[in-house]
Amino acid sequence: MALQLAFEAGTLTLRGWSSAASLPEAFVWDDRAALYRAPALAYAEIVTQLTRSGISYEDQARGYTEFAPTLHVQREPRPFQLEALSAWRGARHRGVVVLPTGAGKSHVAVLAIADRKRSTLVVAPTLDLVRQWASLLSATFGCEVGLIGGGEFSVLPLTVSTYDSAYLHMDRIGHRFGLLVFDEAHHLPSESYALAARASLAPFRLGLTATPTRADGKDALLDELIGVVVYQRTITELSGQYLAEYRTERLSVELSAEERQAYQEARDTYLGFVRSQGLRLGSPQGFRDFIMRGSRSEAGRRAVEAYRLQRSLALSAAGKMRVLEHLLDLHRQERSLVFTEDNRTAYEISRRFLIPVITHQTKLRERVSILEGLAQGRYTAVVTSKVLNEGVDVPTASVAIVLSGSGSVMEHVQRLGRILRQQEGKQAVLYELVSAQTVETYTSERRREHVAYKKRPAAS
Amino acid sequence: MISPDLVRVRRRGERLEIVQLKGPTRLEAERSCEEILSAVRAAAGKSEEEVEQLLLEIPRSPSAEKLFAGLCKVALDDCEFEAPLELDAVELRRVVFERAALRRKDPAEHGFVRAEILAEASRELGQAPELVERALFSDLKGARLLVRTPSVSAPELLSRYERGQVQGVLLRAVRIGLDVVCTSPDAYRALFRKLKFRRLLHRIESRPGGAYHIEVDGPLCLFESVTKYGLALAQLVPALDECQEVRLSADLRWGAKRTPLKFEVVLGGQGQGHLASVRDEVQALLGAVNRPGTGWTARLGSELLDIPGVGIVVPDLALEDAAGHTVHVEVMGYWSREAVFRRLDWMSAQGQAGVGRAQTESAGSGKQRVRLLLAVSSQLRVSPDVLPPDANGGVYVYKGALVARALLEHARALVEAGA
Repeated sequence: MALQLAFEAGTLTLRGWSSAASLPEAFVWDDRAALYRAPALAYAEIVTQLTRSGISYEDQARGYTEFAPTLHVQREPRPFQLEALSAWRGARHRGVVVLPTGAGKSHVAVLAIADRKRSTLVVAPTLDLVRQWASLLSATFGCEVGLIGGGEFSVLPLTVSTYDSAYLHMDRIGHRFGLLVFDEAHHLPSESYALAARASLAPFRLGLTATPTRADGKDALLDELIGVVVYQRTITELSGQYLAEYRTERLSVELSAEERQAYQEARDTYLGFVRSQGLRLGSPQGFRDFIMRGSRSEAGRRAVEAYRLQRSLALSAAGKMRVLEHLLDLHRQERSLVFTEDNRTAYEISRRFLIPVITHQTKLRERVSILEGLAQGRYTAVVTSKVLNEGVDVPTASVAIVLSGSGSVMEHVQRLGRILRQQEGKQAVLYELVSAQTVETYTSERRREHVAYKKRPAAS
Repeated sequence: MISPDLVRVRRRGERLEIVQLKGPTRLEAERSCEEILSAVRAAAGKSEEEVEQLLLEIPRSPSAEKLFAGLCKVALDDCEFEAPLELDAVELRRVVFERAALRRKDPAEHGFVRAEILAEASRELGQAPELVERALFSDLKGARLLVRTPSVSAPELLSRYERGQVQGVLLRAVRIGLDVVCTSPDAYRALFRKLKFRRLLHRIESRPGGAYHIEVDGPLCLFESVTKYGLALAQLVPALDECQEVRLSADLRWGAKRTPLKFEVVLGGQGQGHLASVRDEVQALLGAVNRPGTGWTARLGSELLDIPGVGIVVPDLALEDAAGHTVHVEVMGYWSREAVFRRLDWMSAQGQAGVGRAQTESAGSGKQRVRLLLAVSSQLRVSPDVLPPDANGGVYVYKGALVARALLEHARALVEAGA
């Protein structure tokens, strides 16, 4: 019986092995199915080992095709994009390219697809980005592009998927692509999404991100799933020449007297409980212990409610709405993106100022229409909570207003990135509204721990 | 199904246990079920957000928050919500927001006056401003109206919650082990159909007393402990409940840190009867074969035959003659022709390979020779002639009803051919 290498459920199986030859290292015996099995990720290594050993085999695993993509839109690559491509080639077509948002990471992927000429799956974190990638690839290569996610499932030589759908379906489609492109690749090292990379046999892999570092330290996993960082440039290196000039302003907003009193009372209640329980919120387990003990008594429940109230008062202070109104008026001839920490505030802003809102509940068709409306000037502002944090391309947007957010550096840098796409004469500005003398001041300090916010002093 | 964050569990060393509802907690749970169902039923026509708010107002003790949230989840799962207004909210928003943007950026306009913009948009839409205001976000999940309230009783709700707890834990399982006893071959078949449908892999070992131990996980589990198959494992619970008794043990990755923990639970005995009972035609055969003078005895099948290329085959009956020869009978009735032909292919291949009799790895008992007789309805258009003379099985094609005498003749021929 000829040696047969096959792709099964996100793994590689080997049948007909004779014990005379040495087995490729990645294979282990699977007595559930009475065959040898290896992770699909090991395909390139296995094929190399079999070939080097002069072992003939029937490759039933490889389901991807070679195709000759024609670049229908020729764009002169920027020097750093060519450098990135060259570095990726030098790493045997596996690796991560780190470039700031707006610098043209997606064009590096286009160059990689044209270079490798293999069926390609692009994986992106949101439906907006999937739509954006599909549109870019279709226009660039002049072909139909497959879509997976948001109710769509069509697999073509060029296909775009969400991370969620890639995780769900890769064990069935992982043999159909020779090149994987992970956009916003810092998402990949989560337990679930990493399986999408492991269940694919694609020998060529490209990761794109502006923020490779993860708070949980799992970014090291990218080396195994994609490859090492092969090229990196920062916002400050590219600002002015390849990215829009920008400034950031932190605006301190006072709470009203009523808000201040309610804030202080809620904070006293919450911190009083924390002290009475001997909890240390600074410790890694501290907040979890607080929530756990908060569920055990009436006083605890009141403390948890008070915690939420004081946080909500700081994030959604009435004064912020007045400042927002002023900023929307000030920049009424420009395109603004308003970011909030939660959906409730986003909808409240939409209802109050009658500007379109995009949240996870917004269906794809309406999202597309809203973003087109913003690009064409039918809308001057869009409010969102988190779904526009990453990747979504709004070249005309020049104003970002962060009404509220988390302490995540990554989130804050990504939000800034939304307005950095270069356009002639563009001067971008990011406003950060912070409630004075509240916990939000500390949150703001944490999220500004990035070179992008150190370049220019905050003008608060 | 209840999500893992809502299940009530406690850790005991390396084990995770579901906190059982007993004593005062059970009484509170029963009372909560009544109150939740009553509140939801009274809220017919209200929005999902309002229903959730009403549920939050039901008094409960602080320590019962998670229990209460789980019960609400199960109750709301049995509801149906629909969008409230016939107005197209997306189109309505487009008109309102575009008009607002025009007013905002045009210096000739007199500033941004919300009421004026809404009034203008309402005129364009031919609707009253109040209706436009109300319908602006009427398509959101929280705005949907409750159109069908739960049909379950309070005890049923509690029972679903308790099963939901088990499923919630299994969502974080990387592997399960099952000690299974089924009284009916159909329950075994249902279980293995589920395993196959969910694309799970298994190992089987037989245990004393007609029980089987089945290890279940997925292909990738060979390399790392992943919870990817947790949903598929949780979805096995209804099939496991159809078995007489199942002792389930699971390896979990629990909590934010994915801590490895063990979990054990006893399932089964909750079948609705359609799988636990024996089909009428099989019951009739059993009685007919066991009548005095046939020279054969029959019992319900309990062996699992692991046949390469076919998977697990569960015979309905085991026939035994006076000399101790056993013939396994699988009543194919109106199964698919494909299923029949897969078995026939295997019988033919085994015969041609010179094995003479079916040589399958009967679960856990090593290599065993088995004689398999398929009882196939003539409506499946299968001819017994397709089998070569040396095949290690037989086919009894019947018209209408199964006849015990004809079945036994085929069984006898099978024994004699291989004697």
